[in-house]
Amino acid sequence: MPPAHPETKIGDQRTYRLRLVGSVDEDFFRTICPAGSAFQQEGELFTLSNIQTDQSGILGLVRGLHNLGCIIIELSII
Amino acid sequence: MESPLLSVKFFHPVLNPRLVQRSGLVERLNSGLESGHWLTLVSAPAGYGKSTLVAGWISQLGFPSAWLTLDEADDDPARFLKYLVAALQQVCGPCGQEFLGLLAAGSLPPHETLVTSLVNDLSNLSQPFALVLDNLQVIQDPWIHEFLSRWVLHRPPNLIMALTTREDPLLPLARLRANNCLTEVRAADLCFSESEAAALLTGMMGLDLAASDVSKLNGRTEGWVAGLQLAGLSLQGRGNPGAFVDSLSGSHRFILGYLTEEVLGCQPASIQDFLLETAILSHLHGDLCDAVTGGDHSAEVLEGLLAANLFIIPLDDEQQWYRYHHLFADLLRAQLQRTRPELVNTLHDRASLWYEEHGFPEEAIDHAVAAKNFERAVPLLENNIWRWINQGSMRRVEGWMKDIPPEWQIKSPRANLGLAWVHLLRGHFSQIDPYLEKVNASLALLDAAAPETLEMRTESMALRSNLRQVQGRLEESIALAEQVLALTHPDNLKLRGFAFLSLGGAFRQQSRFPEAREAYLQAIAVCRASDNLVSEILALSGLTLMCVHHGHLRFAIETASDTVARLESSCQTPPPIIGAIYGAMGLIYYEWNELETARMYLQRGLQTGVYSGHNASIVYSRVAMARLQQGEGDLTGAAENLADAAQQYRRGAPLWTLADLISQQVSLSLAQNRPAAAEAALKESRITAQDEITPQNERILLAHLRLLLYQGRSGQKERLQEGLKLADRLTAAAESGQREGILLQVLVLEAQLRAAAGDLSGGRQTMEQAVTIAQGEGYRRIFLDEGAPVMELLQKVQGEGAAAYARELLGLFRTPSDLPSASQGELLEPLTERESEVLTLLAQGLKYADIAERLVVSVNTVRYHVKGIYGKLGVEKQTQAVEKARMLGLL
Repeated sequence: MPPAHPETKIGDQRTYRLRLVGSVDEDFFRTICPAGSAFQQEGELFTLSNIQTDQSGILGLVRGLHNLGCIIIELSII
Repeated sequence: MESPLLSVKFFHPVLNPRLVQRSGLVERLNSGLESGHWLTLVSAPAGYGKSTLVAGWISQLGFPSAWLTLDEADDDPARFLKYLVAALQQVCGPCGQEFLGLLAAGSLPPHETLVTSLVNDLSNLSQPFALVLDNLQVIQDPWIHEFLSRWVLHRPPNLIMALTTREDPLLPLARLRANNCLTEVRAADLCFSESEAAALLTGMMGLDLAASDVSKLNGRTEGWVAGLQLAGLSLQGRGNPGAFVDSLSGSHRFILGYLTEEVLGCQPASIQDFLLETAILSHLHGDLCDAVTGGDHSAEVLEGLLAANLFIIPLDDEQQWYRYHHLFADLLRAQLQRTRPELVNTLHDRASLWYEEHGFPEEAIDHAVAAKNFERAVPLLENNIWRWINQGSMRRVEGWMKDIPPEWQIKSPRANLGLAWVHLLRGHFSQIDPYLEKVNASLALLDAAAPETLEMRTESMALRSNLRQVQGRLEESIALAEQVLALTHPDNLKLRGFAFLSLGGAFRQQSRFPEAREAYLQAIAVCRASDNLVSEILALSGLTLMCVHHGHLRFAIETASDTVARLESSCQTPPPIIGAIYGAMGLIYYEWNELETARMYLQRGLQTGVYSGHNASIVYSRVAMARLQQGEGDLTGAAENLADAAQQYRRGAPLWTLADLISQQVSLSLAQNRPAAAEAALKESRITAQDEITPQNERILLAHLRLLLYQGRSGQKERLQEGLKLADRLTAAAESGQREGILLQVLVLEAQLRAAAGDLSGGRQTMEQAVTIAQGEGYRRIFLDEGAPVMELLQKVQGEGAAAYARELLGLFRTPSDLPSASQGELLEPLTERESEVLTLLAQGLKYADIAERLVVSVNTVRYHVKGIYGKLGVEKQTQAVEKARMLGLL
C-alpha cells in the first residue's frame, strides 16, 4: 500500500490554514497558536493561516476549538 | 488490596534497564531546564516512547517528582482535580487540604480560587519538585484546560512540569514559548535514528539483523518506536528477515494492525485469548483477570507477558497491577470486537461484578454500562449517587445518566431525585423539571402502595415544594410542604426537614413571622437530629435573614452563633454552605454598626458561598457588602459588588434576593447623584410606587420612597407629598405585619420627607418614633447610612429614652458620609465661584472636556479647579466630592 500522502509524514511540520466559525477572540488564538500564525476575522468567520505545526499540534488545535464550540469549516495544508 | 484508583495512577513507569538510552533527548531536556524552561511538552502520536522518555529524564533529575497517568474517566473536573492533588501529595506532603475542602462542596469554585489555593499551598516548598501529567490527550473538558492554563501561568515557583500527550493541549503554549518557559519534544524528535533502531532490534531484542535490514525497517516505520518493537517481536524466530522487512509498507495504522496480528499469531492460543479478553480492562490485576477470563493463574500470565515485552507496563513496585500500552490495548480491543463481538458484553459484565465485589462502584458502573447491562448499572448508580454528589463527581454521574437509555433512566427515581436536589441547591432551577418528570414517570411504573414508592413520591413533593418556594410560588409551595408533613411518619426526619425548610421560606416571604419562625426552628431541630447539615444551615440562614426585617436581631444572632460555634468546633472544615449563615450574621452586625465584624462575616460568607455554589447567599452577602462600602464612602467598591450580585442573580438565585438587590442599586445610584439610574432600576422591577403593598414588594417600594425623597430635595416638591402618602401606606403595612426592621426604614425616610417638606416638628416626632423602636434591638446603621439630614433630626429628638439613644447615635457619625450638614462657611477654605460652577457640572456627570467647553476654559484649567475642590472638601475622587458636597449643602 503506498503512503497516503508522500509529502507529509506523521512527525513533519507543515503550514496549515484553518477556517472556522465561533465566538473566540483573536487574543485567545494568539495564546494557543504557534508564533507566526495569522488571523483574519469576518464577522464570526475566522481564518487562521500560516499555522506551522505537526500532526499533534494541528490535531490538538482543531479538537480544542471543537471542544470550545467552534465549527471547523476548512483545514488545509498550504 | 490497594485501590487501583488511588495508587497505580501515581506510579512512575518502571523502566526496563535494557531500554534504548535516549541520551540526546535527555540532554536536551536538561539543557532546557537549565535555561529556565520549567515546562516540558512531549507531544507525539501513540507509540513514540513519550512516557518512557519522560520517566527516564525525571528519574535522573534528583528531586521529588509526582506522576499522574490520566485516563478517560479523568476528563471530569472534580475527579481530575482530586487526582492532581493526590499526586502532588505524594511528593509535597499534606498540601491542598483547603483545595479538597472546596471540591467537597459539590460545586466547582472559580478557576482562580482553586489555582490560588493550591499555588499558595505549594509555594513554601524549599526545593524543586516535578509533576508529570501523562496521557494528557484524554483531557478534553474546556473547564480543565482553563484550569491548567491558569495553573501553568501562575504555578508555584519550584514546580517543574512535564506533559505527555498525543495532541497539543489547549494551553497558552504560544505565550509560554515566547516567555522562554517551554521545551518541546515532538514526533520528529522522538523518531528512532538508525543507531537507536539497531540498539533496540539487535541489542535489546537480540535479533540477528543485517544493518541494511535495520535501516530498511527504520525507514519503513519512519523511526516509529512501537512499529519497530512490534516488527522486532514478529521477527523473533523467523527466517529470512529481509523478506519480511520488504513486505512492510503503508501507513502506521496498517503496519501496526499487520504487526499486531503477526505478534498475536506467534503467541500460544491461551495467551492470545488472554490478551484479547483482558483488553477491555484499563488496569490489570491477577484476580481481576482471573474473574474476567475464568482462568486461575492470571498473575503468572501477566508476569510472563512482561518478561516477553508484550507491551505491558507494571504500575506498582510489587508488580500486582499492570496496564497494556495504550496503543496495544486499542488494537487488541479492535481485534476482540472484530473476531469475538459476542464475548465483549460478557467480559465487561464479569469485570463489573469483580469491581463491585471489591468496592469500586465507579469502575463497576463503567463496565456495566459498557456491557449494556443496565439492570446492574442502575442499582449501582442509585446506591452510590449521594456519595458521588457529595464528592462533587456530578459530571461523571451525568455522563452515566446520558449513557443509560431513557427506558432505564426512568427506572431510576433515586438517581433523578439526587440530581434534581443538586440543581436546586445550585440555583439551576430550569434544569430541575426534566428530572422531576423522569421521577414521576419512573414512580408510575412501581407499586404505588409500596413504602419505598411512597417515600420517593413524598421526597419528590418536598423537592417541588422547595423549588416553588425559591420561585416565589408560595401558596403552591406551602400546600406541597403540608402534604409532605401529612404523608410522612414523624420519624422520617429527612423528609420532614425538607418540608419544614420549605415552609419556613414560604412563610418568610409572606411575612408570616410566627409561622415562619416555628417552621424554621422545626427544620433546624429535625435536620440536626438527622445529620442533614445542609438543610439545617439553610433553615438557620433563612431565620436570621427574616429576623433582620422583623426586628429580632438579638434572637437571630444568638441562634446563629450557637450553631456556627458548634459547627466550627465539631467539623474540621465546616461545609461551605455555612457561608449562608455568615452572610446573614454579617447583615446583623452591620445593623449594629459593628463594621469590622460585619465585614469579616460578609467576607467569609462570600468566600464560602462561592465554594458552595449557593447563589442566594452570594447575592445577599454582596448586597450587604455594597451597603457597607457605600456607608464608608467607597462607592466604586459598592458598585462592583452590586454588579457582581446582579450577575450572580442572573445565573440563578431565588426571587426573594432580588428586592434587596434593587433597593441597594437605587440607594447607590442616588448616592452617586444618578437619579436616572435609580429610576431605571425601579422600572426594571416593574413595581410602581402606586402598587399595592405586599411583603414581596415592600423593599422595592422603600426604594421608591428613597427616590421620591431625593427628587423632592432636588426641587420637585410635589414628590415629597407623594412620598409621604407612600410612607403612610408602608408604615401601616409594616406595623400590621410586625416588621420592625422595615418599619424603621420607613420611619427614617418619612422623617426626612417631613423635614424636607418644611414640617420640622413632624420630622422630629417621626424620628423619635424610629429611635424608640430602634434602641430595643440596637439598630444603628439605618440612621447612620442617611448621613447629615438624619443627624440634624436626631439632634432634635426629645424624650428621656429616645434622646439618650439619639445621643449615642450622634456620637457614631464619624465617617465622611456621616458628617453633619454644614454650610459653605464651615469649610476651612470656601470654594471659589468657579470651583462651585465646576462642582455643579461634575455633579451633572459632565466630563472635563465638556466642562471646559461649557465654561470656555481649557481642560487643564478644569483639572486645576477640580484639584482645588478635592483639597477643600478633603476627598480624593469625583464621586466622593459630589457626595460630600451634597451633604454639605453645596449642591
